[in-house]
Amino acid sequence: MTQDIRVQALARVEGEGGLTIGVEDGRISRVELNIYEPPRFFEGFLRGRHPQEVPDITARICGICPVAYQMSSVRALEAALGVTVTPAIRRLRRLLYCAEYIESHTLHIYMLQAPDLLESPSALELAAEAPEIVQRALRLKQIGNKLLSTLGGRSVHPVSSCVGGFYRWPEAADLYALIPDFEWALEASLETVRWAATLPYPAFEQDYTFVALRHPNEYAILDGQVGRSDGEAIDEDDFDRVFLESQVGHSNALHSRLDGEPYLVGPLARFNLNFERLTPAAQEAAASVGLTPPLRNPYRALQARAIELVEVCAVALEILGSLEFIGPSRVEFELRAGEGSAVTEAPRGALFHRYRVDETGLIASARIMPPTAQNLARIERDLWNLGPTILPLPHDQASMQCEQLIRAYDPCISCSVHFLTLKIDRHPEESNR
Amino acid sequence: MTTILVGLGTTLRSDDELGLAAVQRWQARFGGRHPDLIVELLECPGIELLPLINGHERAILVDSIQAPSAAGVLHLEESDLSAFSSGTGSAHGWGVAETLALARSLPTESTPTDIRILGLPVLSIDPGPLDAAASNALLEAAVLAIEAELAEEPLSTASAS
Repeated sequence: MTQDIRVQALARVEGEGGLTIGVEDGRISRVELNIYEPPRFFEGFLRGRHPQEVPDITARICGICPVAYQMSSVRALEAALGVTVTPAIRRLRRLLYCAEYIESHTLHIYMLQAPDLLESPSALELAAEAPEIVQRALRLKQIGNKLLSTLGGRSVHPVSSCVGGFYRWPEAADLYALIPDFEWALEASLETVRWAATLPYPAFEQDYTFVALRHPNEYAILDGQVGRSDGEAIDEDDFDRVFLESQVGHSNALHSRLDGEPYLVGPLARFNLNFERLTPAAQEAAASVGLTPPLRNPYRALQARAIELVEVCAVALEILGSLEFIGPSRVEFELRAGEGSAVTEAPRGALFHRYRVDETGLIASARIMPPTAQNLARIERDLWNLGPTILPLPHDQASMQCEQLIRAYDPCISCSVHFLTLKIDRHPEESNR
Repeated sequence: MTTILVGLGTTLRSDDELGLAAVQRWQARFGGRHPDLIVELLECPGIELLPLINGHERAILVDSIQAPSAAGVLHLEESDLSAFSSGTGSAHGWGVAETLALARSLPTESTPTDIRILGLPVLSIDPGPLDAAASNALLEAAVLAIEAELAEEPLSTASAS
């Protein structure tokens, strides 16, 4: 490969950004994920708002994972305001999160990453070759949509969640009616696991520091301590004191590091740190295809997502089968000064929110650390490590391999920023060879 | 069988809100004339558009479109959409064109046979609010175009009669 590489836009990721790879003396000298969309200032315009406005505003950060933003924000504000929700509210929040996982993971597995592994230009070609696979994906997604609409009022940017719980309980009959769909979805997710095991994954084992929520009794999504692969664990409230953000010149998204090094959040981290907390159905599904932790290949995050599909379908079925709407749908509270933080597991990884409420009861400060931003430094490290593989390749193949690696992360650049264009910037002598 | 009217766009990227604003303006002025019409506003739905329109006889989609040399409301067929790349501005790259193409590749999908697209040319999709005053003429034209589309019979009905 002797020419600069330019790809106008990386396809099949949420949002837009650019990539520059510098090459000198036959080696990669620079890898920069150029996240150049202007900052979106969400933290800034939350200031002065009523806490009850926060979940609906932060949900607009992302059309793919609005529930994650709502759950992290309501939990952080409840910590700030001294609110403890009831077990019934917590169960309904878990159910809501299941819907988002089904939608997000199904989209990424079938529509975004699988075409790469199958060397298919997009899911359109996959639909022509194997329509039954795409139809399974669409029905799975639709079931996620139905649950999200039933619980959240609509399938994109739901509106039912509030600080303290839900504005009202959903209709139990509407939820019971979804049980046959979820029985099908569980079977379809098991089929997804089996299908995912047949896909060809590039050999690319990496040495990651995994970071994910851990819960003593369940596969942690909604709450817990923040665990990591060296065995250490911290409280949610210490998150931004341990995982430090810094600016880099080429990106409007902040990078995060742990002890000065990149780390990984997301499905691989959750699978590896919480495997023993998976439901029996999900553990059996993993065993059936010989999948055991640790998974250290970023492309195989697809398989972790497939196992998580089984997990959330099994959890959703369990909750749907034992619905109890006891007491009020939301806990009343008095506004007061306070500060609180929370981490929940968005489909793409740990999502941290911290809020300070002033003595008038309004938001004085807000801080949000999205999972994609936390992974950016780690993606750059992976691209460095991919160098020896891509440098001997023709331009188009090298570009494609970079894109596919980035896509395997399912980055939501909209959450951290937007626009991805790939440019390999060779040193002048390199370009002349 | 029913007709669904869908406004598409995002309120965060200036002219990309045109589709939403047009349907809202139409709804305020003419909504009462069409009590059986299903009206939806979707921000960056991506592939979520599909389950929403499936099962309906006719879908009228109103969306902003990047066509710098065009003026006024563009009446588009599905086959026209390939000329307009939705690109990365759409959720995960799944814009209207890609989503409808996927539906047509799966014959079992109950996607409307009659889909009409009203494209509203954008000047800017930079972050920020829509300048409704500057877009007033286009929005007015879009309102009338929506009403005109609704006045027509669905294709399948028309061809059967």
